[in-house]
Amino acid sequence: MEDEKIIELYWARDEAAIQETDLKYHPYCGAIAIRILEDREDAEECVNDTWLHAWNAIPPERPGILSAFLGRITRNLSIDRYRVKHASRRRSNLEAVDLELADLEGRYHLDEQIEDRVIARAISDFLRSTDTFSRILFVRRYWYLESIRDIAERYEVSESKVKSNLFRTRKALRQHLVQEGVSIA
Amino acid sequence: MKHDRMLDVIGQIDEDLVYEAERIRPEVSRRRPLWIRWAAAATAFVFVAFIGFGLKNIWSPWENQKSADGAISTATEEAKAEEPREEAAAPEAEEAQTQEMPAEAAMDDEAAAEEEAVADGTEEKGMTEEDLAMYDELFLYTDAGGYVYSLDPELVPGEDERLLLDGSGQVHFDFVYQSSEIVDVRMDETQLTWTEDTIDLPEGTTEGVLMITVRWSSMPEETQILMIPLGEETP
Repeated sequence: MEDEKIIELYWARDEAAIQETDLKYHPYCGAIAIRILEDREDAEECVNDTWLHAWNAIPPERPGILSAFLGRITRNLSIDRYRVKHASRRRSNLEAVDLELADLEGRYHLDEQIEDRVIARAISDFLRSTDTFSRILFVRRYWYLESIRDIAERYEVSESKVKSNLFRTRKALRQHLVQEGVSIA
Repeated sequence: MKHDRMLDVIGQIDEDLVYEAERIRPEVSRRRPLWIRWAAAATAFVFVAFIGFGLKNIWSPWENQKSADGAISTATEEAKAEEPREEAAAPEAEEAQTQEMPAEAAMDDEAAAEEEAVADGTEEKGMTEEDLAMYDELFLYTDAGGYVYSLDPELVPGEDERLLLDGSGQVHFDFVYQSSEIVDVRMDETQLTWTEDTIDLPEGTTEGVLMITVRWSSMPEETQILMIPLGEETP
């Protein structure tokens, strides 16, 4: 079913919206969840929670891109669940991503008064200014939380190429955030 | 700001970017320009260094051996070629070959004996200082801890080797030079940071020269610098 029709079902408060969403986006959201949680059962629960959150959010929201909208919910739910579950000990892929992102913040103190959304906007603007390959690598790594190895395999490049590209992008992003006044040294 | 929060912030980037990363397969540039030039430059450098340091002489035994091998093989081939046509003349050919052989054969035997000695380790015991010095000069030392690699610079490509430069001022250095040991790398007298696979160049650097310092073990006071231009793209 077309995304627009699914959204119309949500707006009509028709529960078929959830079935159609599950039918179409279960693999997509499931992949995001399993990548973060590395646990099939937890991932399954997060995906089911995603449909519930979508049901509560639409309306009033009308997603421009349904997949990204649902994926974001799954991602946030999965990260939250991961944090609760691994509060005492972090490990694996998410920890690696955390460490990589630390170099974005480690040298600067981002003003906490600035809303996350403003920072996200600055990051989006920055990403649009980069080349397609770098942009996609960044999103696959830090939004989809895909492992370096999986990214390298997906695009048939070496892991070192992925790592160095991400390093370069993070470095440029850091400069961009400073220029935008988002970060203060 | 904790990076946990950055993880959440990135989760809020625009949906079209997320969509693009899911649906679009970017074209990956596969430039492999500079390592090839580096290989050529390194080869040229070593060749020049040979001449410059007058090391040509130390190759004489090997050159002679090569000539001897070549001569013998040529003579054998010639003889073989003659065989079918002039069977009657075979004894003469053999005789001619025998006449040419003694000096070459002696040299060949000598080289073979040397090889055998090296192989079984007996020669090391009998090596004179002069021999050792000559042997030593067959290797090139770097400033990066004196790793030794063959003077004949057999550049061994890695799995996905390349030396790239982009406009943001970084060199990707996934290059394997016989082993993954790294020679001293400088950039316009500014020491570069060396990491696993990235060299940080000074801000704004888009072109320059990668300088690799090499030193001959026998002449440690003499250093030679291999200069590799960066920033040029091969079509």
